Amino acid sequence: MDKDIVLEVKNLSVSFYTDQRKNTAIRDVSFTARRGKTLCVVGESGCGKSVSASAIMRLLPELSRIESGEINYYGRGEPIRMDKLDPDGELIRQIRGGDIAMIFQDPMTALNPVYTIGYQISENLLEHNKGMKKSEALDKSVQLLKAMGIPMPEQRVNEYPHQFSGGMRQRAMIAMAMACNPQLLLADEPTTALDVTVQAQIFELMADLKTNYNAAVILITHDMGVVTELADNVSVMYMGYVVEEGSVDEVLRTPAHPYTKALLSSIPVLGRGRNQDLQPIRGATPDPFHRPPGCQFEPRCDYAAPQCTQAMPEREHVDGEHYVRCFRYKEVLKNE
Amino acid sequence: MLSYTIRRVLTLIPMLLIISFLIFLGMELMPGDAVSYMVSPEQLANMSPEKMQEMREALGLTQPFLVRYFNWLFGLFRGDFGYSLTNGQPIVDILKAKLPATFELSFYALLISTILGNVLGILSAVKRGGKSDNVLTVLGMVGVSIPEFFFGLVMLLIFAINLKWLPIGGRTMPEYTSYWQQFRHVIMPASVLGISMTAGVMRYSRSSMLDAMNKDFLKTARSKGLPKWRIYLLHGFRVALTPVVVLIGFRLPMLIGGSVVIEQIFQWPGIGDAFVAAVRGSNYPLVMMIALLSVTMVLLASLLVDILTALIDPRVRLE
Repeated sequence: MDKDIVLEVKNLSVSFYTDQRKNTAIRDVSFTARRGKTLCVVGESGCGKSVSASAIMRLLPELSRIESGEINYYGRGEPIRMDKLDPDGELIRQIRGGDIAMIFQDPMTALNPVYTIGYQISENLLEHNKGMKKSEALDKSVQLLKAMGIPMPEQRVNEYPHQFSGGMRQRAMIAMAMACNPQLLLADEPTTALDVTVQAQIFELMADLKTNYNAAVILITHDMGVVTELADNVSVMYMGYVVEEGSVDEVLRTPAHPYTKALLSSIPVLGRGRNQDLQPIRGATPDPFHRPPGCQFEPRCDYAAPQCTQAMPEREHVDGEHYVRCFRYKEVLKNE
Repeated sequence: MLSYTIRRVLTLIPMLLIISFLIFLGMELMPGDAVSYMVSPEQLANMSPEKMQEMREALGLTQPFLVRYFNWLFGLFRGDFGYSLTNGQPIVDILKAKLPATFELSFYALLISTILGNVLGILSAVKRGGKSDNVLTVLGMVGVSIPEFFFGLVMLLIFAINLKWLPIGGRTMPEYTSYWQQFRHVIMPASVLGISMTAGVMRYSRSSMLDAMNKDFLKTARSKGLPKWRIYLLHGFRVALTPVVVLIGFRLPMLIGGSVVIEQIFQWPGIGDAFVAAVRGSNYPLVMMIALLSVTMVLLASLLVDILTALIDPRVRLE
């Protein structure tokens, strides 16, 4: 057993129930988070990235259920089956915020407007460190804000979220997440709501965290640029499936799935000018209630073959850590 | 915040002056004058015009309108609230007798409706769609629709007449020695008034709480591993509180105005009852005084609501 593994998700499926209909938002998803490494989960809206994160934290909404699969947490020595825990129980509450922390997409709404930043960070500290005094927690909050690069933390700690700018709020959010030295940091599109210069600063900060705190990071994003900058490993998701996974080099340099390949060739590159050839992926994401019968990407795929309409391909090993779900990945790889 | 409060209190003064003028003007526009109410119709028919003029002069009614207004106003500043026209009692004494009764009744009713309304509202929101939510929704609907007088009469029938647990009306008896004996009288009117007001608070705090529960920061609170009560009360309800405070704040004037219907049904010697009697009897000095007090209370309550909202939600800036 690999000692660096903090969290392992195995064949996880989650369904949402609405009006007698069932939508299986993620299907047979597996990934591992390792200490000191960043795993990027990429995919377009609705592909199941955020659902995976919520499932790990057991923060799924009421009308959803983990259908099958395992979530194993190894941060406490003995493996803990997170998917078996009572989502309101004592153990999961200790793990949330203490062992696994989460950063959300929009720092404008993810902080409670009626409490000071210091109160919200202290709250996390006090919850997970029994016997800690309020004044100690506040001092620690100041240190955390300072570590996240917030100027004048002694003063800022007593301010309210609306007195912070967007980037500062996300830093405060990260300070809150890092308060209890979590083993795993789940970041759900942490910079989508921020402008580009601030994004770069936040990513720099997160890259530092990985090394300074030796935490595992799962970064959910739809931005390929972010993946190249930060990722050690990548999982590409489409319609609830992980269609391709591997180290960042393997996946970005030699994409084995037509979807990954199409994604990469649809990104404009800075400096190539306005005449560069962008190839958008044709068609649109199918309606989750009317899925294609076979491979989910088949209707939009350039490599589609008759067998692709029969069933979703199984996970196949390419080489190294590189896995793909495609019948024709060899042709994709050949066609550089 | 302090300077804001002081400024707000200072702006109350011109507002109150204008309102007092409007009240006085309203009374002036009412048909007839005081003499016709002080003297019985038979006497009035036999009274000579000179005699009537004499009475008017004695009462100061022949003076110009503005002079009378300022006399009344300066009287108020000196603490001279005038006299009741029906029995010549100083209005101060009437208020002293009636206000505590109204205050007592309204205070308990507000307390009941605030506590019950918020607790049930939160419960309803947290268990949204569940059995208790459905039951509470139906009860809330029924509570809003049943008129208080009917509810009061049913309660009287059950608890005072059939079960004989509680007194049928009144506020106190001469032989009582402790407040607890007197307290038995307030239980029923306060409960009826409080429970009929609960439904509104409950619906309000439920929807406000549901609103807060859908906010992203509630998920943040959950992701921190906080216990449920902390998530719902400190993060959810604290944010949901603002609209509820506004609703309750605007009911505070009831502490002075009272509830006419409940006071009549339970023979509660409060101001609501006195106000109706004064209006019927054209006892205008008393009407003016009660109106002025109620208006003052409304203004103070809105000031209080503003300050409380700012305390609850730091985004509301009082500048």
